[in-house]
Amino acid sequence: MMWAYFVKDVKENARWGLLAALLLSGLLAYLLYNGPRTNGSYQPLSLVGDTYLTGTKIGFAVVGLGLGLALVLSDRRRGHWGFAVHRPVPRWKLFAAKVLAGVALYTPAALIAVATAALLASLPRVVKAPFATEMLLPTVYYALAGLMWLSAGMLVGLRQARWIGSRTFPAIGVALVASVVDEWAIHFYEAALADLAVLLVMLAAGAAAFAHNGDDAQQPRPARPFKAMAVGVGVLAILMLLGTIVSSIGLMFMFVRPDLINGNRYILDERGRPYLELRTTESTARFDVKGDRINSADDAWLSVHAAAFIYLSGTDRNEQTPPRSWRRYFESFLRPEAYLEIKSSDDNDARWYYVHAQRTIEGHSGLSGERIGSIGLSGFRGAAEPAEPFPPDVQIDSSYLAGRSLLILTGDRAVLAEFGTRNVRSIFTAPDHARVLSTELVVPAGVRQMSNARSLDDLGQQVWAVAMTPGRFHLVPVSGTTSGETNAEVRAVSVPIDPLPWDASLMISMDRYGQLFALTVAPLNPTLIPTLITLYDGREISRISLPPVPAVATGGHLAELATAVVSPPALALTQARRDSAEYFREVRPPPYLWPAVLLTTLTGVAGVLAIVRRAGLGRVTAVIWSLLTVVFGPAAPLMLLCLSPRPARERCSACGKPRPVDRDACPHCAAGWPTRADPATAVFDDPTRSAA
Amino acid sequence: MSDVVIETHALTRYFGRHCALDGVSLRVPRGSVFALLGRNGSGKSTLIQILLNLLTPTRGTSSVFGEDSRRLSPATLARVGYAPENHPLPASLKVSDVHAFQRSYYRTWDDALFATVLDHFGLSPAQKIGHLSRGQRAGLAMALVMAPRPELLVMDDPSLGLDPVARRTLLEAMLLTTRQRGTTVFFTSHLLDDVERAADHIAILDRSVLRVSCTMETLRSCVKRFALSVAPDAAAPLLVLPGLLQSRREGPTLLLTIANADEDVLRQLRTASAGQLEEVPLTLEDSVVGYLGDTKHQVSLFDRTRPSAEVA
Amino acid sequence: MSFDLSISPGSASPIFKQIVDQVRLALAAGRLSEGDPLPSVRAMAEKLLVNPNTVAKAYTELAGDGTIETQPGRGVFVGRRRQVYTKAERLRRLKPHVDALVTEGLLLGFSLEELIESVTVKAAELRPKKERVP
Repeated sequence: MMWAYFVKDVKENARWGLLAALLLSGLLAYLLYNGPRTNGSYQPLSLVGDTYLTGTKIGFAVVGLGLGLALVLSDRRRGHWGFAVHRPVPRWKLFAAKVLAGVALYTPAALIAVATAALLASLPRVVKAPFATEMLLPTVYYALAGLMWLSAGMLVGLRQARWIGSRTFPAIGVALVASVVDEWAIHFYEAALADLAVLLVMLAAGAAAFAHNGDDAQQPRPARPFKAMAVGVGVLAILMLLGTIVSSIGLMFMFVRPDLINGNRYILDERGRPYLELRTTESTARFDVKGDRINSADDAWLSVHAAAFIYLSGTDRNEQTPPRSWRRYFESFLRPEAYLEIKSSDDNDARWYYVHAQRTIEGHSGLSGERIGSIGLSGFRGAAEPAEPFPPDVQIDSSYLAGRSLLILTGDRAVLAEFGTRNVRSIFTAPDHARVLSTELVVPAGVRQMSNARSLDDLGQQVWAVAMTPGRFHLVPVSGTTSGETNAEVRAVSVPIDPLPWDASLMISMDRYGQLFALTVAPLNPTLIPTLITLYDGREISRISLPPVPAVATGGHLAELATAVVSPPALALTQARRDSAEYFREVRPPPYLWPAVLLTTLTGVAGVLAIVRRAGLGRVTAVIWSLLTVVFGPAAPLMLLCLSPRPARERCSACGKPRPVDRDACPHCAAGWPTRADPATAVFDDPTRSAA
Repeated sequence: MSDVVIETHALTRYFGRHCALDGVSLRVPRGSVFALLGRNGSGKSTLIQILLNLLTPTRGTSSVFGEDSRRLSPATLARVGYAPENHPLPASLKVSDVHAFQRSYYRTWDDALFATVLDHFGLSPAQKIGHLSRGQRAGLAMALVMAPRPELLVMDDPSLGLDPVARRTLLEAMLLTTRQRGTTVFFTSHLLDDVERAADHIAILDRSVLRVSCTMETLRSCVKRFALSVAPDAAAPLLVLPGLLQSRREGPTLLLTIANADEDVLRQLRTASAGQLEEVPLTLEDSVVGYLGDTKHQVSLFDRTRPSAEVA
Repeated sequence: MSFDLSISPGSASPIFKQIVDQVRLALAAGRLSEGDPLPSVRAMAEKLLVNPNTVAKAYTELAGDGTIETQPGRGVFVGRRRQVYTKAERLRRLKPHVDALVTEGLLLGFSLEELIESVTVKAAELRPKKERVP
């Protein structure tokens, strides 16, 4: 009987499935083909290209959502609902059959599209980029995510609510989840699990809506949390969007104010004396360690020669291993490729791709699409030779000179690949086979324009690389290994730092001869003490602690305040934390934040209580939603508002107060509804007696 | 087995602020052909949808075969045939598709009956539903609900938009179902001739309130029309008589349609008309319109549009 | 035997009443005579396309005054004519028809004599056939 329903739904909607297959295949083919035609504005095309992935993501989502809606809305039309569900079968079976029909229509469409993309990408020279089977994973993932959208479409179609209102919320919620997954999921299975969870919630809410004719009211208790989740996430998404908009408006105000300090750091004079530098958008003030301000006319001799900023969030400090950068893993797994564009430094207009699945770096001509060759640890190999894969522990860091060169870590080695010259060289080998955790190029201040440089050597400046091994900073010269003026040898430096502050700014000071003489390690966390290490001839000669960098007062408060008022407290706090990191501020939330959050929460709870009372919901509901207000902020009362029935109200005949029409007893006086006195015109005979 | 097939108690449904069904208590006896009448939007379809759990009531209860409408078991659902308003069927499917679809759900499916009804309406299995005429679609819908041989047949305005031939065929099909003993038909219609032929019970919903629920004979014996000669200024007390459904003036004659006219009412009428009281025959349509008319004191559209000079 | 009923819904007379009247008329006109079979309730209902309960009600009424008889297992037959009503009751039943006839006739401008004449003609039309019945 489920089978019959399945067959009917598949037949009825077969044309939509066909349309989906055509649309998706066409879209994917178009996304893979479109791009190189436009001269100049080059757009990398491959199964993991940005445009392709964005288009694919949206395409599968729209088709999934549309198919879900089509499956349900055809039955939700006036009258058709009766034909569809008035059958001697439990409703959930009918819904299950419908879901299966949706899957049966969507899956072939998606498979055809994925197969089209795979075929196009794997055929040589059709897509001018390397191909590895793993590159299909993002496409496959987005195709799977379409099922989540399908379920959301069904729920949206089933629910009886206003289209401009809570009806679309499940879809908006799914959009939020999808973007969160995009941002945070590392592995395919993680993304797939998140989607599966969404799918199950949507299906549970959908089954309940199906069984209750799309009516939110009077659904059984077990179904309510799913409905709350499905709709609530949408509310949350809208508010988060609003919060983000508000906070960006706040940030705009922040930068308008010229008196706000937007950064601070320690700098050193030529003798290695530290000065605290506080910068605002308009001026820079410097103080000595005693806190006395230095006349700005006298500070011309203070200069920063080179600086490196190392920032790695989410450090596992105990392990002293590089933090799991989710984003990076996501890119390396779901997008197993890195684009390295070299525009003018190569006759071929070559593009280099790091193919994660093969651990190879391959070059393709941007003009012909032909494979040029590969770059491995042992150097460049021509097109005739197979690519040399990197060792399994390879870690690719895009360097400071993004796009020109690449820092590659493997085991105790740091290797620099320069694509302009197709040159690969080892820049650092850690002593005692210590693992290199992270490297960064340190370029002299003022050297930013690299457009004409094929190689770091072309800069004619001293370039350093910072490498971190457990417990130590290493600074090694990368180019210009001798000082331009004195021809003195520039020495590598290695200093122990324990514990290793991952969130820190690292200031490197060099004398005018390019010789490194001081390091300032200033943790971003203001509770950690900055350290000044003075060096001579590559050796540490002193190490002193500096006063903590004072917290910065920025206009970010405004943003956070606004965020706190409209969006969940958690988001406001996250925002504060992110801003702190971004603008070198203390992590502690600004003083207004907590009162604002408290006020918002209290207002939210008051709102919840008002809604609970109005809709005549129970005490348990009031408590649960008050708690949710603490977590979600103003979103919670809005969610409740969307979820709770809002029955019409009529004046109670007993107590005169308005009472909801969907309850038998008046909430004020507990009176029932009056039985209507039949008018004199009424004609009733008891049908039981007159039955023929 | 209970003699009541459908029972509702104070059934109420709101759509937003609009009350579509207001405290309807109804009982449909087994074996009856029960017609539910009312103007468009009076809540007939709402009532039917609530009965079959296609819509949730705001409050009140309803039951079908003694089972709460909101928890109808598959076994009970198998005994109820439902033909929704407008004969909605998936347009992209063929007749044979919906046949196979519907048949798979009912153990009591009568293929011969299905084929006969189909043939009667001039339908063939290979036809696409989207290409059928309204009458053919109605026929297919009838065949689909009749073939399972339901004990209760619920039809929402089955004759809507049908030509006279299709209407007659539909009427035949409807009466055919009553061949099976104990089969109950519950239907809505605007075609009072058909109702008069087919129904033995009648209920009238007026703006979401149930006004009448009785046998056809009870209605006809309870609603009467009287003609009296009364001067317009003396008619006022008559226009507030209990049970007055409709009043109309035709020259010197005042026509009053009155329900449940008891001795007291008759006496008042006689007094007012100085013995010139006459009972005027009343058709079913007249009595139903009496209940559904917008105003008690009927002024026809003709009178309203008449130039004022002519009235004077 | 040509006995055909025709039902018109939408008339002031209920359907069951129309059946009763038409059977009685057929009997009076001699188109039906004692012992003639009538269709069963079901057959009659399907023939007239009306609810069987309506036919049943008409038959019950007809059986009540003996116009028809139901013989279990055999069917429905026209009964032997007998007066089951008192004179007073019969007069009461006749009154509305006389009222209608006289009112309509006078309104149409006939004289009383003309009315009596037309009644006589009609009765004469019906009587000969009736007299054939033993």
